[in-house]
Amino acid sequence: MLREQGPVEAPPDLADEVMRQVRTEAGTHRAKRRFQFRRPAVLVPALGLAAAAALVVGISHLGNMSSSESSAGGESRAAAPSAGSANVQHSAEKQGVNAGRRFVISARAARSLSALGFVPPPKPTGSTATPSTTTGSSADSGGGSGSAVAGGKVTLTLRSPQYGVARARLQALALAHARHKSEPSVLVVLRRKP
Amino acid sequence: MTYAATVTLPLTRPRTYDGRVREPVSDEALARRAAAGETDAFEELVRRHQDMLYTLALRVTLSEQDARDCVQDGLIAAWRSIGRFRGDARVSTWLYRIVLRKAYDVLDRRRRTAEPTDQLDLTAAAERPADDRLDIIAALGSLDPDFRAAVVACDIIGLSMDDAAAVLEVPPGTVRSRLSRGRDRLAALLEANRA
Repeated sequence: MLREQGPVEAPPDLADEVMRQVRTEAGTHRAKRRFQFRRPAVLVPALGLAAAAALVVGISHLGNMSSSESSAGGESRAAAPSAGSANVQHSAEKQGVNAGRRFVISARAARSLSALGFVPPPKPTGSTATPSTTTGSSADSGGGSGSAVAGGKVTLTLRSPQYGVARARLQALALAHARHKSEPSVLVVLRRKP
Repeated sequence: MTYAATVTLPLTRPRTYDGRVREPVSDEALARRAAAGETDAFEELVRRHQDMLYTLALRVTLSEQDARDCVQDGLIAAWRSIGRFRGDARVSTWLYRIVLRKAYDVLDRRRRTAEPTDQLDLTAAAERPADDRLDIIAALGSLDPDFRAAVVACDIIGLSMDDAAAVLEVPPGTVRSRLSRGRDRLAALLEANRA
């Protein structure tokens, strides 16, 4: 008797109501799962790009530092004797990567760079010069400009073809000057003109 | 020249495209698909078992509203945990157990708050009208909840002793004892009503 009378039918809307809630939960769960799946998919390449960019910047920074140090190998050796040269180096370093390549060459050899727009400093005072003053003249030649500084610092800004030539020349001069430290020196900052 | 096309009418049993008889999908297969996120498979499970789940909840809680809530909450809980269903019991047994736990929760809450039932009161069968259906249902309502659950599981739902033990989460011997005492009590109530 119980087997016949006991069972009852569920309300007709019960299953629909349950399934509505189930589908709502399934939708949010799926959305969550999708979001959790996408997050690393976006994050990993972004982190990889950031790491690669940081690596490239770091390597280029290191390369600039090492090349300027090696190319102007005479600079540190030539600048060492005086505090003034140390100040030159320090002020150039403070300008960061855009400070250009620095070369310490002999003042006499610097005159040979006039073809590149280089204007020799009026008083090449050598390693004892105080480079704090930055007044100077500038000249354009072959797309470049040079400025001579009375304190023994010269800035050369050249376009791409002349820049390469000047850099090779200055490297050679800096190495030559490093071997003859007794001559008066001048600091040449070579920048690439954009 | 005329060609006669032979059309094979579909047989009574549904067949697949290659002519094999399509067997009804088992509860376990539906549960696996539901665990993989197929809501349609879970809906099929719900529609298959909702009547018996509702009967179990109604006969234990004696309230249509509470029974509805039990089934609803139980099925939602089943959906949430179907990924953890190991398959060591039948799906129906697992669903009964979940809904019965919800029903016991309702009874506990009712006991704590002295909340009355809204459909079937627990008065003795003798006080009910002389209707057999109401008599036996009212008599069932007057049983202790544990005995009532055993009687409902075995005599109304039709579970075996082992399945009932799995649903009630007690040993089979306990089910047998509760069932026997529940039936005796029901018989006594019905005799008293007829007399």
